[in-house]
Amino acid sequence: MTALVALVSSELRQRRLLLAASALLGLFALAAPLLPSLPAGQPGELLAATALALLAIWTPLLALAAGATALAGEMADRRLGFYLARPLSTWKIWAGKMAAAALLPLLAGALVLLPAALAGAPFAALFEGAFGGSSLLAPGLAAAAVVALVAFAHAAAIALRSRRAWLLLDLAALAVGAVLVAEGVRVLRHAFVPDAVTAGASALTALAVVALLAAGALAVHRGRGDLAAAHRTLSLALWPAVLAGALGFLLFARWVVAAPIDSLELPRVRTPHGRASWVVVGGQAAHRFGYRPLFLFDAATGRSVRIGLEWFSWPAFAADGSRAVWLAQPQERSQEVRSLDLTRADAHPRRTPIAPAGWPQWMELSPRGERLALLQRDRLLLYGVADGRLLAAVRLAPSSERRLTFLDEDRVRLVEKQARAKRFAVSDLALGGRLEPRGRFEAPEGVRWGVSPLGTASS
Amino acid sequence: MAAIELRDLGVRYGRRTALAEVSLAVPEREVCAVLGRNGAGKTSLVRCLLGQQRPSAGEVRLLGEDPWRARARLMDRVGVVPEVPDAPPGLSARELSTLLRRVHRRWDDAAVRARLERFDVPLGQPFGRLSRGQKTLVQLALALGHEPELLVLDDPTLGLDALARRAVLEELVGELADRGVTVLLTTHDLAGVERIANRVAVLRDGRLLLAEELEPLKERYRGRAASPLDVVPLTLEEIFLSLHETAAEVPA
Repeated sequence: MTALVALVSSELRQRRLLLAASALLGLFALAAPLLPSLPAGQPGELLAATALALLAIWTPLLALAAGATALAGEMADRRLGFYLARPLSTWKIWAGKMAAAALLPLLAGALVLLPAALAGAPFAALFEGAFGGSSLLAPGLAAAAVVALVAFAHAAAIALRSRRAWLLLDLAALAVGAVLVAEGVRVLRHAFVPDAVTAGASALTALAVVALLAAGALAVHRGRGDLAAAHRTLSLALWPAVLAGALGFLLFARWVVAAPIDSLELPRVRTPHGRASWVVVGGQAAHRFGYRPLFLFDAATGRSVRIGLEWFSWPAFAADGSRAVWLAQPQERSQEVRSLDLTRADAHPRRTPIAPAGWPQWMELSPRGERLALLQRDRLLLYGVADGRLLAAVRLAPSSERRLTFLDEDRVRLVEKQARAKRFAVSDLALGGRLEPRGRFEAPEGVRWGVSPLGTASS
Repeated sequence: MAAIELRDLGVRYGRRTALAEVSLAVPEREVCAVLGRNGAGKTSLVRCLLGQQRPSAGEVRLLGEDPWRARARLMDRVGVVPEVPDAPPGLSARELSTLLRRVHRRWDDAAVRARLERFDVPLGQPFGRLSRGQKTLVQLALALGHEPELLVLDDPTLGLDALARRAVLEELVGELADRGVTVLLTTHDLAGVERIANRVAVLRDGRLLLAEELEPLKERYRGRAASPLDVVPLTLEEIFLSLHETAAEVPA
C-alpha cells in the first residue's frame, strides 16, 4: 500500500504545474462577474456558472491527456522500464498510474471551483436543482465520468501509439458494436421506451468502462514494455466484452418490445362494433420500462397478435368481423397501413399498399373491410384496402372536430363540427364523387359526441 | 548456483528474430560482458532477463526464478541501469530516491546521496534537465540503493564522456570489491569492460557466438598463432573485431 501511495503521489508531484494552472483558472472565475460584456444578473450565480463552464472544459481535457500519457506514452518511449525494474507488480504500476491520472483532473476540478465556492457561489443549490435534490450525485457522476475518460484515453493511446494492424480490427469491432447499439436504440425509440434506452445505455456504458479498465490493466500486465503486445492483449480482452455488451443491449431492446399480452398491467380492453370475436387490449407491460403495447385478442381462441403501441395503433374493424386494419410505423416518419384477416385462425398481419404521408386524425374501415377512409390534413381520402388504390379524395374546410362512418361499402358519411360554432355539418362521399352536403344540426357546446354505424350523430 | 541462466532463449518480434537458441550461464560474483553490434539482440536479452519481455522460446532463470513470473519479487534483489535513462523526467534525484525508499524493502538513502554528491550530480534538479552522463550516474546510484545481489547494466557507458565513463566503471569496481555483486552488462566500451569482466559473451545476429571466461579465451587466440610473426588478437576489442570482420570460427 505504501508503494502504491508513493507511486500516486510521485505522479501527482510530476504534474504539479497543471494543478497550479487549475488554481489560476479558479481565480479567473472570480473576475468573470466584473467583465462588462457579461450579462448583469445574480453575481453568485454568474460566478458559479463561469466556474462550472471552466470546469466543464478543463477537467475532461486533463482526464483525456492524463489517461493517454499515463502508461501508453511511457511504454512507447520505453520509460516504463523504470517502474518495471522495481519490486512493483504490473497491477500495482497500472493502479498507481491510473489512480493518479483520475485524481489529477478531480483535484484540478476542485481547485477550479474552490475560489468561487469560497466567494459564495451557490453550487449546492445548482446541483440540487439539476440532480433532483441530491447534491452528492453531481460529484459522483463527475468522478465516474473522469474515470471513464481516463480509461478510454488509456486504451485509445495504446491502440494508436502501437501503430499496428490491430488498429483495423479495433475499428471494425467498434463499427460492429456501434451498429448493434444503434439498432437497439432504434428499436426502443421506435417503441417509445426512453426509460429502457437510459437503463440499457447506462448498463452498457458501465460495462464498457469496466472492460476498458480491465483490458488496460491486462495490456500493461502482459505487454509490459512491449506496446505491440500490449495492444494485442487490449484488443483481445476489450472487444469480446464490449461486443457481448452491445449484443446484450440489442437483445435487451428486443426483449422489452416482445412483451406478451399476459404481461400487461391493468389492461385496457376495447370491444369493436360488429360480429368479430376479437377485442383490442392495451396497457403497460410489467418490468418493461413503461412499454405500452397494443394487441388484437381473439376471445374465442385465446390467440393474440401484437399490432403496435397503445399510443397510436388502435385498429379499425370491418362491421362483418372479417378484417382489422391499423397504422404502423416501420421507420421514423414513415407510416403504413397493416391488416389482419380475422376469419383465419393462422392469419398474420400483412402490409397493405396504403402508406399515408402523415398521421391520420381518423381512420374507418368499410362494413366488409374492402375500403378504408382516412381523415388527414383537412383531406378525406378513400382507399381500396387490397390494391391501395385511391378511390376518392376531397379537400375539407377547416373544422375543429370530425367523425367518419361508412354507410355502406362505397359511401362514407362525414360529420364536422364547424370552427367556433355549435353547428354540425353532415355530408357524404361516394366512390369517385364529390362531397355531397346532407344537412346541419346544432348541439350545446362542450358535449361529447360520436357517429353511429348508421350515420347518425349522438351526444 | 548460476545467478543467470538462459536455455535456448528465443525472442521474435513478428517475423523478425531478435534472439535464437541463446544459452548462457553466469555464476554468482562474476562479471559477464555481453558484446555485440547494434541490433545483435543485447537489449532483447536484457529485457528477457528483467522480466520485461516474454521469451518466444526457451527458459530464463534469474537468481533461480523465472523473471517473467517473479519479476516484482526479484527486482528487490536486482539493480538495473537501462540503455536509455528512463526515470521520470519531472522528479529530481532526491525525489527519486525518496520514491524508491518507499518502494524497495531495503533502501540506503544516505548511500545514494553520497554517491550522487561524489558524482557531482545536483540533487534538486529535475531528472529531465540533467546531462546524459548525469542521468546515467543517477540511474547507477539508484540501481545500487537497495544493495542488489545482481546488477544488470544495458550499455551504461553509451554516450558518456571519458570522465563519466570512468566514474561508472570505478563505481562498479568498488561494488565488486565491497560486496561481490554479480554483474551482467552489455557494452560497446570494450577497453573499459575488459578491466572488470572475467566472462564474455558475444552475440551476432541474435545468435550466441561464444560465451566463456575471458582469460582462457585470450589464451586460445594466442595459441592459434602459426608463427610469432602472425598478428594475433590479444585484447577483447581485437577478438571482437576478429570475430566480426572475418566471421572466423572461434578456436577450439
